[in-house]
Amino acid sequence: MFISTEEYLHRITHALEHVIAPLIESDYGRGQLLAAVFLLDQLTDRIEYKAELIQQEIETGCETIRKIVDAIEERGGEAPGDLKAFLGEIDRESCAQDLAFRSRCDEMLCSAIDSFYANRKKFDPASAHAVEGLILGHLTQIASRDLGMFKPSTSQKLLQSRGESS
Amino acid sequence: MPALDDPGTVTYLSEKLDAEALSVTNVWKNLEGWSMETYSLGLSYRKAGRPVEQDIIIRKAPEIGLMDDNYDVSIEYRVLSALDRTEVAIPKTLWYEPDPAVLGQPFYVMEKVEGDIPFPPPISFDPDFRLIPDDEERKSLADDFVRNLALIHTADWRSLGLDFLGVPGPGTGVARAAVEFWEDRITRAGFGRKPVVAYAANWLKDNLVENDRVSLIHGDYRSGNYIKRNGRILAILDWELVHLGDPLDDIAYIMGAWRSAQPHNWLSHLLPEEEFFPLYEEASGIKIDMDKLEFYHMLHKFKSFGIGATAAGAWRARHDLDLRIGVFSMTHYISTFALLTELYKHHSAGEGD
Repeated sequence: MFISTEEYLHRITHALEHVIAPLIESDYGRGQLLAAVFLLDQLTDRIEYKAELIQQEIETGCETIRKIVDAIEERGGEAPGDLKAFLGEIDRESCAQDLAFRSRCDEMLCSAIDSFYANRKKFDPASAHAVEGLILGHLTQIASRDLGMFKPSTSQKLLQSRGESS
Repeated sequence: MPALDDPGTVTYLSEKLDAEALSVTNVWKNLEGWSMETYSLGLSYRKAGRPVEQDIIIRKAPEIGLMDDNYDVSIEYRVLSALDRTEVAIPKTLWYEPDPAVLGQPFYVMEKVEGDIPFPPPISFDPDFRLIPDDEERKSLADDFVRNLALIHTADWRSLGLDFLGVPGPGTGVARAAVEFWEDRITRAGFGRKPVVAYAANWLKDNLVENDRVSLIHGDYRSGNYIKRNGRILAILDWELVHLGDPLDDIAYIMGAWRSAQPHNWLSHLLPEEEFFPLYEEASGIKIDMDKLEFYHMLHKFKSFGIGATAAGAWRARHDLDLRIGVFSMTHYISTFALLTELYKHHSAGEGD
């Protein structure tokens, strides 16, 4: 996810209150909108990104990193030091299962992917193909999950209302 | 920004048009675009003693746009002005104003082309959706669509003075420049590097294709970006992504079924794929290399992801930005999945290698 849930809510309430509300001439309509802003403001600090979603990304992400690093080292390649330090760290201590740590996992997975491509010539085609499958498997698992939560019908309704009014 | 009909702007326009007794009779802002701001102005004035009624278009850099935080409208102006010497259907440019004091940002002015813009619906899940229901009109527009694309791709950009767009290096230079351009845009969106981006960028750099020719590339060539009247395309619009590159870049984009079910039976809602290829090859003299096209399909998916990322970045950075961009930024879930689907397609094709 590019933008955090909290940030999305803040941006929505700001736009509703400062951009949209002044455009509504009806007192009733403006009142309803500002009531929605109030309610969203109350919810903002109470909503948390679903813990199990972050946990899933961290778990499968770390597993993927470890397998990539193992595959590189099995073929005499050298994984970057920060990547190995990261794996040592998650072996030694229980890490926070929060957005900040997920971002760090993402960063480390990017480093592992770069490292795999840098060492790709050391792999026979079948092994390289297997590592690619491993990475794609992890990425697709998360992307499929996120797409499953996407609500296209709502999005379409919003965009259609734009077409009708313009 | 000063109002487009305020006394200062009226004086400015009078001087530029050498007009007397100028009045702005109509101001209309195009709400469709989320990047360059486009205004249509109706003007009434006297010139050399004769009455003139004229409609003009102003294209202005946004405060913060959907695509980037550093728009340079002079690029579009220079390209359109150069293409005036070709047969490409474009609006005629009038002048470029670099001084941000006039309207808050640099802008350029062009003549208004009368007609309408057939705009695809937000998302069509019908693979046979017809944007142009009349078949005769559709065929005529399809011919113009392909002919103009061929004219753009075969334009002699060097003699037109368009090498300022940046000439990519030889060999895999075009492909590399395109990948690096979008990788840079994604990075600049400010969300850190994502594993899907790392994988796709590595894949693209590992599969760079040699370029046979360097052409002028529109970058956003599709239905929704042209003006039509009486079954003819009169002007190709929205040159914000213009660059020098491989013609396959535009072709993969056209095949990308923007705002449509995938696969879609009508390329850019105008003609079937099997008609497009021979028509384009005949009009341009450029043979479409189907193997190389695969690279550009992947690049197109990477670009779609990049546009979503920059939209999210712009929405986060600017607090008075249209809420609909927030909706658009959510489409990265779709573009991520589309990018992975394309990567999987190649991964599956490589099984048994």
